[in-house]
Amino acid sequence: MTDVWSHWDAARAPLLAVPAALPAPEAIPPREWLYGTRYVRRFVSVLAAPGGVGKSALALGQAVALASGRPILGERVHHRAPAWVLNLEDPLDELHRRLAALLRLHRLPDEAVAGKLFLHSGRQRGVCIATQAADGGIVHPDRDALAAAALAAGVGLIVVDPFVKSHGLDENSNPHMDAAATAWAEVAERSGAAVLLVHHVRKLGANATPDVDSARGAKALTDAARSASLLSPMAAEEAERLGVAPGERHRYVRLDDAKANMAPRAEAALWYRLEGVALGNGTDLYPHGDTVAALAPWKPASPFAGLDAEACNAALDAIAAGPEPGQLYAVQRGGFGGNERWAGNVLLRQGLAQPEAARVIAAWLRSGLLIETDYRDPVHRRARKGVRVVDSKRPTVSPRKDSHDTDHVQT
Amino acid sequence: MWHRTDPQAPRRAIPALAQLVEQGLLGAESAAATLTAVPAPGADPSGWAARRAWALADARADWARARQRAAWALHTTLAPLLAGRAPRATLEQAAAAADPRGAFTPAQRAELLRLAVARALAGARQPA
Repeated sequence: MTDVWSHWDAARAPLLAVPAALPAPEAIPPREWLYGTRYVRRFVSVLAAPGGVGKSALALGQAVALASGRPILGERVHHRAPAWVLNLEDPLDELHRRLAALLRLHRLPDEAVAGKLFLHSGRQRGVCIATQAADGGIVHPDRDALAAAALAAGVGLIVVDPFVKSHGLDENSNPHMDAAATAWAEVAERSGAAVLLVHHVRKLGANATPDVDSARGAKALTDAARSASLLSPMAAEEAERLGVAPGERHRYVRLDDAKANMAPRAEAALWYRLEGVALGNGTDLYPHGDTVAALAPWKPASPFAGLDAEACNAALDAIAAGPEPGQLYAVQRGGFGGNERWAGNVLLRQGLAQPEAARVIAAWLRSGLLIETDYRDPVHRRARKGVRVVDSKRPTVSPRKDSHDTDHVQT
Repeated sequence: MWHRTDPQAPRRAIPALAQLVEQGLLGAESAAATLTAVPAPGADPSGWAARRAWALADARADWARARQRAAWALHTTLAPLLAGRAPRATLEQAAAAADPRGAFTPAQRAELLRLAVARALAGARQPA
């Protein structure tokens, strides 16, 4: 009752052009970041992903990281804060399994999250932030109760998984999605918590790459969010480039900044690996118990591991010399001359495996240390393409492992 | 149509019971049972039950019309006030004045007013 009237009173307030207060910058309170630059108190963020990629596992992992104060997923936890996971799809038992797997994988004791993590299953009690009343107006059955409960528990992060189960409005209507997102923003404002809305992306073609505009339904939702992250599976070409076996590719997911209104967008994706964790909960009927997936941060191995500046220069010398006098090595395997002319052969002879050799050659080409050029093959008397070494870019000191890593992680 | 011997007490009770039924505060069967239980000394038994039932039905129809009129009066009275962003007290006074007979309970009137305010706010946020 008071809710409508407080809005009415606010709407009655005179609209005046108020001069900017111009406070000293150091006097302005800083943004209340909780987790990396993804979640900030009193604002709504969106995590979008196709089905089955692991968004619930990621959201739970982020909630546990915040509740425990430990950066188990590789992102900074600014300060420890209670987290409330509203899982509106799965039963409480399933949430307990996932939580147990996560704690076991990251070797966190129960005490790390005790009293700081709140789990809610929509199977026991649904949550409706907004729905349409019989007269066509939009009502908010649970908004006030959610804000009050979050405030009472001192919750820092509210995870709504999935967003679509938290309202009864038309997902394809921009006014409706704006109303639902606004209702969650009001919960965030009143409770002082960050709100994470976990959302599906619409069905895409087999080769399509999801982005923030792939979020299902009306765009007003992602427009209303201050930050949006996109979780997507590892693409086949990424797996090849990062040295992941095709059969293992489904276990790797990447998290990209899809929208960042309050912080510079991170250029590099974060990678996670889905690990199966045995819970040891076997019974007579199910002697093996459950193995539940949990996320752990993953960093692609550097192809330069074991290659120091001396070894790199030796390989570059061999590439510069070419396979035969007057001939140059090729960038690609196959083609005229077969695999014998591939520049990576030089690295294979130094003991690197073929995928790593391919990644080193690709990295050198990207950095400009190797360039592809046209030349005339004196043996076969024809024009060909080959690689030359740019000596000015040769390593003079031991290659910095992190710089190579960064080069490869940025995808 | 009443008979000259019909007792006054049930006759006076019927509009009040009908009002409660139309306000949703009393079931129709409960109202009929209550009416039956009212002592009717001296009533002519011939047709008394039928007259009582018809009188209750007529009274209910009367209150139903009164509620419709009050709802329309609320709408027309509040519309300009809402457009002018009148204060809450003014809106509540106008709502009470639009229903002088009390076709709605105070709680129902307050809910109707709250819905009207919510619609006005929604209309201001999302112009069609």
